[in-house]
Amino acid sequence: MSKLLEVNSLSLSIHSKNGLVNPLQGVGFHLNKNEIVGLIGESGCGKSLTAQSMLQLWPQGSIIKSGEIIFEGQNIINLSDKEMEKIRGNKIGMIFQDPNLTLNPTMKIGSQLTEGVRLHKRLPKSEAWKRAEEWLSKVGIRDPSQRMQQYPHQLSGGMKQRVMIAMAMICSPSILIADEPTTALDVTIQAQILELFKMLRDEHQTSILLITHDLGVVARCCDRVLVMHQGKIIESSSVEQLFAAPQTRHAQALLSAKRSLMIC
Amino acid sequence: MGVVILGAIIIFMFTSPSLSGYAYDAIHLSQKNEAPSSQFWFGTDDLGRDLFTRVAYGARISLLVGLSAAFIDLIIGLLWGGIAGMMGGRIDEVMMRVADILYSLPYMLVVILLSVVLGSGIISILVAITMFGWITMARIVRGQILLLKEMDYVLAAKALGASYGRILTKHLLPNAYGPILVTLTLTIPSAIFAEAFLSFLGLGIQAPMASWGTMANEGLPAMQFYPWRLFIPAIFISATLLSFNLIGEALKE
Repeated sequence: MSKLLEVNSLSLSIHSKNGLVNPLQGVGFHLNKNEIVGLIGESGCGKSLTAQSMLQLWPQGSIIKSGEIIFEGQNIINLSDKEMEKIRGNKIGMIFQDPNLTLNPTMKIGSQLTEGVRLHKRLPKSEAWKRAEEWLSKVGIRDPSQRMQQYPHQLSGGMKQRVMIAMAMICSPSILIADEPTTALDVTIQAQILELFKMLRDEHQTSILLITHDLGVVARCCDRVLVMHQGKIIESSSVEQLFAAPQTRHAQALLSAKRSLMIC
Repeated sequence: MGVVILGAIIIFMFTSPSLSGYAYDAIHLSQKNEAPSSQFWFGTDDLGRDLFTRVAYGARISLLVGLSAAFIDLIIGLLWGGIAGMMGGRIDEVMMRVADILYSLPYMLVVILLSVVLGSGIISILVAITMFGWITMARIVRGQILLLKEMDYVLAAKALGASYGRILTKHLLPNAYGPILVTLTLTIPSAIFAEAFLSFLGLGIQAPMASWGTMANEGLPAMQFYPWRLFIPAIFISATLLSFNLIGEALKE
């Protein structure tokens, strides 16, 4: 399989009030075409920062100390804002944790959905709306044309997350980064969203980087898993391998925590 | 309530000159300083000009100055505060310090200097009022932008590939609409009041044109004998300010 995206020894520091912190210390992994990769780890280990780094969305005061991010044969870590805007949303899409916060409350669903395509593909409004409607029905929203006219507060949480997925997918990016997309949703909706990811992988050949701290999510839909701990990727293996024979102590600890939870 | 008072004043402003049948600068020397009567509804001033008509003309100038000053404040404030808040860091720092320095200049001194340089009239009054007025708006806008730009949907819009300008105009300013509108309704009365105040000091609109401030100014020396010459414009100033403030308070809720 060909590597679609490769991250090599990415180190990042952030200037904060309490001095310099080093949340990423040599992160390295790759994404193949057409697979779902899980990225797991405890809170604060740098999962989200890794994801944001791929789109240069790091917080203010960040300094890249070393590393490269190779996407389509090009190192994108030093691209300017202008060049990065062409990649964001167009080639790499992103979904965030809480759909209640990631939709602009003052814009209609339709205009938010089409913002991306109209920016990147320069589609006229009518065509963009048609495409948005197609995607809405693909992610399982009924009456898409009616929903497009509504505001975010008129939709439920699960529907908003579907809208976010449609929004991220509408330009058909080759990579979708999902930063804890199911954490804020209840279990039945979670299952539906995960099925949706599999559908995207199978029908649209999208590679998905799925960030989560829920091992159940990993077991259900990932092909490969990366375990992150204190700013480093400490383990990279297939899902079966991780659950059967975790290589590192930290992964063992994660798994046993999960098991003890299941017993309760 | 505020809307009702304001509506009444605006209707009065447009209809009354034709109702009274006098021109605002028509002088009736035989009927100086008359008390309100059926012939002159609000009385006349020391040159026998009809106060009813003059108050209505004054309303036009006062509201014109108030509204256009507020509008200019809004534009400058949105741009200045928006850019400062959006860019952050050093640019923000420099832009807000410039605003602070302007804010700390003695207002009256600058206005007097300005009216000496520009001559007195509507334009110099507008320049004087807006030169200081936009700062409040810029601060409010900047505060809102700083607050809103940490929201997740801004990050999401960035992840979609939206540029800074687009994020500012499409995602941030519409969400800051509420506080901006409230500030705007409070800017209008303060601009009207500033105009009245400057005219009262003789720095504003000049005779034979009339604004409420100049009329109050002319009425002041005659207060003991012809109190209506002071009180009528004063009542109109107060009622207008009250109505705008009431609207602002209502919008706040």
